[in-house]
Amino acid sequence: MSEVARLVSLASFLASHPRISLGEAARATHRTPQELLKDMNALMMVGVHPYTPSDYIGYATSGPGENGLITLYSADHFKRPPNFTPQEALALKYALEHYAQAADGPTRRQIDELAAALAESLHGQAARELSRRERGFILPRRTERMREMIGRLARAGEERRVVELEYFSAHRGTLSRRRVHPYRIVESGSHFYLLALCELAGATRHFRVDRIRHAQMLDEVFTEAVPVRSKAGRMEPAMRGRQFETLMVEFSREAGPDVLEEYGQLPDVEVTAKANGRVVLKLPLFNETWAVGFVMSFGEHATILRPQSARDALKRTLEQALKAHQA
Amino acid sequence: MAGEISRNERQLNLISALLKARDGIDWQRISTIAGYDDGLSRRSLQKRLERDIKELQEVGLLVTATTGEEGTRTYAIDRGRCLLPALRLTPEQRVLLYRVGVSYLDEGGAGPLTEHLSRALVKLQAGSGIDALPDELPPGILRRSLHRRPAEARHLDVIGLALLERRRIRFNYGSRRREESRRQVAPYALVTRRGGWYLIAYDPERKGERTFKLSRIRGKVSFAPDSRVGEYEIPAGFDAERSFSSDIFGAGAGAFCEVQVRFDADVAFIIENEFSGLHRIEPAAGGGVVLHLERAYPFELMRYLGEFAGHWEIIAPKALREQTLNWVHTALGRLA
Repeated sequence: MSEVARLVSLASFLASHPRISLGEAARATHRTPQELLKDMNALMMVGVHPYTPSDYIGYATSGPGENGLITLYSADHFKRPPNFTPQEALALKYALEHYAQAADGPTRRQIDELAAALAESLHGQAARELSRRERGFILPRRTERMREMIGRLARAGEERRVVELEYFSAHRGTLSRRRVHPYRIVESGSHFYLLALCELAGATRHFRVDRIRHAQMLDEVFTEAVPVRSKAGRMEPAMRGRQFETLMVEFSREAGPDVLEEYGQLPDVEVTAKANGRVVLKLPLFNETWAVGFVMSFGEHATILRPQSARDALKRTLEQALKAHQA
Repeated sequence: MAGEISRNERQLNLISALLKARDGIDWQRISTIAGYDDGLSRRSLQKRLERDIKELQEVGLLVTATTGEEGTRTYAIDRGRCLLPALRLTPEQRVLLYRVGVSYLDEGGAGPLTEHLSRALVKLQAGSGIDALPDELPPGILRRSLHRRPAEARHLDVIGLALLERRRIRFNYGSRRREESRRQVAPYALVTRRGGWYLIAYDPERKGERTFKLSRIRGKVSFAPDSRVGEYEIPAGFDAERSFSSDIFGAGAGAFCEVQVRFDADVAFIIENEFSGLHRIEPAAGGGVVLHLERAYPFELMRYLGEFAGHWEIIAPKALREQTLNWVHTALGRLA
């Protein structure tokens, strides 16, 4: 049934946006241009007796490719979309809440006003769902400083302005300055990252937004094309990205059963219980900083067996911790 | 003929006929609609119509049937109740809706919300008039994602849908003590905190709210066999933030109280970014800060501190400082 629901919403959208371009209609209705054309073809079949031309929905496009303008015929009766289902109201409510968590002050006020206007306009259960105060998806709260930083970086990206960052690299354990071309802000897991071209590295990098101490928008504008999504590079946080090694960790008899339970069923993870009760975990290694934090979280109950580079990274971290306590 | 007409097309034809007719349509009219004109018995076609009408409710279209004096049934869509009212949104609000759509839906980042959210946003764009979109749309800079680890994402989809539809679910759950139990619960909220997703749900068997870590769910999550859409309501006043422990570094047995960690000037801003307004932060000598935590489980804390090699020092309590230093010495011995 969701297919019909999608098509009815699309018919409403196109009927109320005469001469919208194929590209914009695709973006606004969350489809690719090809998917949009396919759905429009499905709508063309819709009609009722007596089957005169004006009883069938039809469409025409004028202009090339994604710039082509769409005109939908004989679909005025679809102009007013169906009311929200309770699930649609809830999904929108949850998404606006989530969006607000990283928004700066003016955007948050706008979100509040929008939610109030919708709750007032809609009726039935949909209006009740939008008015309810309980929240369904709870994510880490963002401090005001983080919200402002995300807003500033997003604006710089939209205006294609070069930004000078002061950034703390967990890998190096130091603060440094670098000029970047901000392309996109990505939320993944519990963190926000800035995908940007780093002039120093000459390549795109993901910068964790909470580790940016200062971001100064410069007058300079970058001109290169923003990489398309498939070429934009993948996030390389904890458990994803490009594997460069296999991490092998040994756990004590005390921690072993928990590790077996928690990690035993994960894909790409191998857990072996040894005769002495210890457990060895083998998993793809994407990020050494993550590996150090992961092993430290088990305290005396875990140690890295390999690779040597991860053992060295853990050793460095522990030595630095010791030094900080002895100072 | 009906054999060539798909269910989608038949239902769209029916919606089209219902929306076009001011005063509803009777059976005679329905029997001319492609998809209802295939010569089956009236009884079979009537059943088909009833199934379709039931499914139209999922689109948000409520079809009512009235019986006239001569026993003729007329089917109609109540436009006042079933169609979206005209929405007067400002240009900024329309851009905001567009941004929300692009930020979540372009790469499937809305997870379990995707299908319903997509339809809601398209309806809003459609319902807010012919000038719904500005001439020039801003580029989609922000990408949001509700997903995390693949194993969690699988559960997240089913639980998210159950949460939207207010349906009970069941699954096997492994506790910290390695006991597995069968649970049948009503989801109230999904929470993500450091490194994982949690479900807060009402467990009728235990007569109370319970929190479940998604990574401890064994096997598949499925809808309860007798579950139906809208079978429960989340109690007014339910506060997921309060229900879920705000002790992000753990609070169970073995947790230390009144923990203080000093961070140096290089990383002080990161601590302020994350904890300002949530936990007490005091300025320290040399531009650093001291973070105060009511409770912290040592190794949950260590996992976080591992990101700031050499930039932190545990000040209090003394027992935690000593435990940490002993462990650091032991761990270094093992790595030598």
